[in-house]
Amino acid sequence: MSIAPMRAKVLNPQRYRASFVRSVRSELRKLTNLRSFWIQSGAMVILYALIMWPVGSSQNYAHEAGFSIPLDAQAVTAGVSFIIIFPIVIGAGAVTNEYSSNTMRTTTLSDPNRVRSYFAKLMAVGLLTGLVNLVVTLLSSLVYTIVVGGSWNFGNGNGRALAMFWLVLTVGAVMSTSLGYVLRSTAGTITVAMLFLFVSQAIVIVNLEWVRETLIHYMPVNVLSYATGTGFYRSSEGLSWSTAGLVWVVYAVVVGILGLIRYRRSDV
Amino acid sequence: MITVENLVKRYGNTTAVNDLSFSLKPGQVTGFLGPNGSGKSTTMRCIVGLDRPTSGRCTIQGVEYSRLKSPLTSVGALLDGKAFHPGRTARHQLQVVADTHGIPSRRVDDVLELTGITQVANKRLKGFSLGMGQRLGIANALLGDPDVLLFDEPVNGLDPDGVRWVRQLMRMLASQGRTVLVSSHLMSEMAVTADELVVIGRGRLIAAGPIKSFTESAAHTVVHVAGPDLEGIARVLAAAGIPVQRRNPTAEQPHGVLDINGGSKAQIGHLAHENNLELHELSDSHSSLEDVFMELTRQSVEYGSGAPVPGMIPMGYGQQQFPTTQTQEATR
Repeated sequence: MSIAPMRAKVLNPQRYRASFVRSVRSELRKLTNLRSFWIQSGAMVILYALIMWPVGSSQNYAHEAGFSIPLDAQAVTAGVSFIIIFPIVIGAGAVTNEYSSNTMRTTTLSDPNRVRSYFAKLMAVGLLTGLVNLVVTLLSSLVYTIVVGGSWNFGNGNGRALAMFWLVLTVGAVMSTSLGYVLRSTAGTITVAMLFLFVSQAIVIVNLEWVRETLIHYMPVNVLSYATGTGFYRSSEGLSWSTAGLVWVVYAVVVGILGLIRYRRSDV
Repeated sequence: MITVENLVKRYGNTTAVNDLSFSLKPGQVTGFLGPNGSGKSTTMRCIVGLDRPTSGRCTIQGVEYSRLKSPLTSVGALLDGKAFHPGRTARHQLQVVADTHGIPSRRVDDVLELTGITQVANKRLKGFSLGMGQRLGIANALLGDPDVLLFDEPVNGLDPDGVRWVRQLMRMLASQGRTVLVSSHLMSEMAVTADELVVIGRGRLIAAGPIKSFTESAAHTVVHVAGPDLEGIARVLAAAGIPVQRRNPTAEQPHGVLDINGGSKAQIGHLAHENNLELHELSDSHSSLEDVFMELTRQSVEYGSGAPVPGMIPMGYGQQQFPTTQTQEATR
């Protein structure tokens, strides 16, 4: 669509048009300019690296007592259900901040193709939180390695567990962004995410065999645990890492579809 | 060109816009008037696709906003002067928008300069006054050098210099062939800025057309006639079926003045000439836009003046009209 100009236009509409890549770039600029993004990311990186210190030290005690425990990625990924709170908060803030300050209007005016705009934001959140999660994964592994000593055997499920740790954190952030589109409130999004993660575990009180023996394994905290496990401490029950990873992605896709429907249909 | 066709927008049981249709031409400033809650902002949001119409449609050059390939170079909108993230700077805010179309940084500098906020371009927006926010909003609207501009209450919070600047800017944008739609409650501003008006009330179109057709129509024109033989003039006019109202003599008009509602100077001058009557004054005056607006929207005001409360009786109200504290105490 071009409008016949009655004047010499400063900007050529054929050249300066909206596109997915440009929208992603705009979203990246928005996120990297948020002070809260850097504070939350910094806190996540530092806190998790610090946690690895006592985790490694406790393994050292066992080592000194004569038990030979190799470096296990599950020691690093075990805190996934705690540390995922940070990506969730960052992901939620990426969109709910826009609603609270009314800048979502500016965003929608700049790129009125809501499907493209929606996925541009998810992509930007995925890229940035992916980077932060990579730093968290590498730094916490490094601290754990330094404290315990020794060398890694990545062929023993360790590399896979660390990769899944990174993946579930990143997918968690993107899922939270989608949830933010559904609820449009920071407090609401974080509350619902926490309920989904932790309170859903309370389903175990339902006195049905199918719930206690089957459904419980699909609850988010368990899914995270199965997905990031190396198998070293794992019992025979539960889901395999690949099934658990898939379930987590399915959760994200479902929330993602809900977010897209809400954003496409609703007034901004 | 903007076209609004049979637009209906409902929020639950509330109908904000009800079967509204109008179109705007390029090269003109169109004032969008209506009382509070009449649906002006909703209509503007529907035009740019922020609100989904319940039925009807809004197009820009025949295309819905959401389908424009280059929205920023087609339409610029200022809908909320405070819609900025407080942690960003003005430059950053504009750069975020520019990024979505690959607009270069020098254009950001240009619109900052144009709107007079270059000096505060790197200041965080939480420190911006409402007026500075409005200027940034205008910069945002102009960023893509669009052909169509929508401004919702653009002079809110601006000082007199800023108000004049906005007025001149609107005129300049329209003179360049752009379509400009401005909503405002400042009738005096609209009177000197707009070429056309669209007046709505309770979501419905009340009137639309050139601003002169509102204020200078026969119904809103009063002809003033004065002369030494005022009785003779009144007689001639009455014989011609023209009703007159007589004003008492003053120092400037020792014979008094006749006011004729809805008359024409040419007709009255001709009658006086035919009857050999001497005239000292033959002039006309028009209703102000504010008067016309109040008249047009009288039935559509959703939030009118509140009733006076004891101790807060507005100037001009008599005690017999509203009970005073004394009356209430006497009743007790």
